[in-house]
Amino acid sequence: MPIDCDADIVSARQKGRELASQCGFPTTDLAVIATAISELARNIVRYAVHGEVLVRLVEADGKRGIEVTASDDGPGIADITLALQDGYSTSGGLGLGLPGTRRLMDEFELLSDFGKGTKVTVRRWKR
Amino acid sequence: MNLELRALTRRYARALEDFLGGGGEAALQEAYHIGREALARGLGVHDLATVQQGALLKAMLGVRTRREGTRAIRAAGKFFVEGLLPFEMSHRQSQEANAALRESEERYRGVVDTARDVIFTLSSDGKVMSLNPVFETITGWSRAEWIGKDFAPLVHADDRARAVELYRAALTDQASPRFEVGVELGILVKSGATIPGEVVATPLVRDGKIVGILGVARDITDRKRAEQALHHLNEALEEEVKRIAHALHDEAGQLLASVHIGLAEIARDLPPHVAQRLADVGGLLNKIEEQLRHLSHELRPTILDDLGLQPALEFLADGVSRRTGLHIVVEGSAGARLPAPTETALYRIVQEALTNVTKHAQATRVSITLTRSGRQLRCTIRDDGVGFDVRAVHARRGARGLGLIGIQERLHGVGGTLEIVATPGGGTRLIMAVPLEVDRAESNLAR
Repeated sequence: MPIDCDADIVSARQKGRELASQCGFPTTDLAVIATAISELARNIVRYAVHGEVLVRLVEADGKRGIEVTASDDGPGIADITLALQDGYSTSGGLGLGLPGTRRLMDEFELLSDFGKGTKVTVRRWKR
Repeated sequence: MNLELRALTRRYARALEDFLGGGGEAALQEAYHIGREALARGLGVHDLATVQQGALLKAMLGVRTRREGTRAIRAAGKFFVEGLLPFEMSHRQSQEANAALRESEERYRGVVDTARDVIFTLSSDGKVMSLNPVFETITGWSRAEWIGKDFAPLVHADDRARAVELYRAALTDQASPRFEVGVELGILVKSGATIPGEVVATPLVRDGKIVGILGVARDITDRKRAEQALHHLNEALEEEVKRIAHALHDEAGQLLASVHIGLAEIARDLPPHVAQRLADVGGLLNKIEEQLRHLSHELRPTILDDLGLQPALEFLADGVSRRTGLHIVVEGSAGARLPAPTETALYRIVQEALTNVTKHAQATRVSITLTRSGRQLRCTIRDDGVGFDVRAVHARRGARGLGLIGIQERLHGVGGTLEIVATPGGGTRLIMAVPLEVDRAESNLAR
């Protein structure tokens, strides 16, 4: 799903919620996945202008789960460690943004080449 | 309910209405945004519950059937979950931060508990607030015996005034170079003995205010013992030097005199041209005698005892100058006679310094300057040699650091201080300051 504006975020959330619902996640977990998509897509709109969010079901070691990948061709992140610190960028020290997303999800991967864009992958497993 | 909360509730209620009217994901996202905003404005979970309650009540007012009622309650539940998620993220952040803080506190505790120095805190009215376990090992007191008590009785009566001074300086955050290196205080232990401690203190700051002091006290018994041993060794060395000087001057001198008489007697029995060769040998003997006398004087100059530091230094400079070709001047004035230990110490230090200059400095000129100001005598030795890296030389203390330890020990013995100004390639200056009237507190240091 391409992410260019706030309206795209809404559809990405919806797709994520639908897919997670098919997978059998409880309602409260659906909200968690929608929130992760919101936070990741928000970063795209804010810093990269254009990017995309990919949501898919995954399976590993007999566990089923959902994976959200947000990628953009924006300026990239110069210092990943710094970006994952609370209080840096949008989260304003409240623990939101990338660090907040990391805490909500089971797995979190961040790839960023400065100047070549950013790719964040998060996963949540069904319990 | 305040205005801010009321506005949020209206927005939340509107979004809930939208959702019930088929607003779908966009309405859910709005609930999430409201939660995010509430968090950013410093509102809490309880506030969000109030908003939720208000919006649900409003939604229920429009309900006509049981079915609609169930739908509204379900929707409000979904909304609440969305709105709470930003708080959940924030809450997890606090948990992580708390865990990190706990870990760091445990590490700190571990360091304090296993430290070999006493780490203590005192309140702003001088009460002992905390002590680490090693306090019991070192002093024999139990910590409970001192927590909450005034700290002063722990310090030897002679040092108490200085302890209070150190405490006050730390409490008012007055960084004094005098206290930077630590203050030596006698600490009273349970057995009734006094052990030498070295104490440093810094202000204890809580919420931007100084609430007491944090101090570290080290048991320096071993160091004191080593210093004392060195001191005794120096004294023994001085005695030995006296003995050798005496042997050189008096005993060897008398022997040489006998040799002279013997030679003169032999010369009388010899033909003149042979006697002349003997006379040449006699001349050489005279030179040896002269050199022996000079060496003996340098070792232990009677001139130091008889005439004082300045003439003795001039005599020393003259001798070194003649042997090495260094141009040495003695300037300034020491004023009246100084206490014998001070004169001896300074003489030995200059001697050691001149040996250093000869061996290492590749200098051509040396000046020794004495200045007296009030109760202090300053002695500066300056050369124009290659200099050295002070830090590097200090770092290899074990490896006979240019005799600097010896110089420092001698100065310490008479309450003096040493400053070295040297740069590689830029010459060397040793600046020594010796108090001329050692006050009681200072002399306690050497106890």
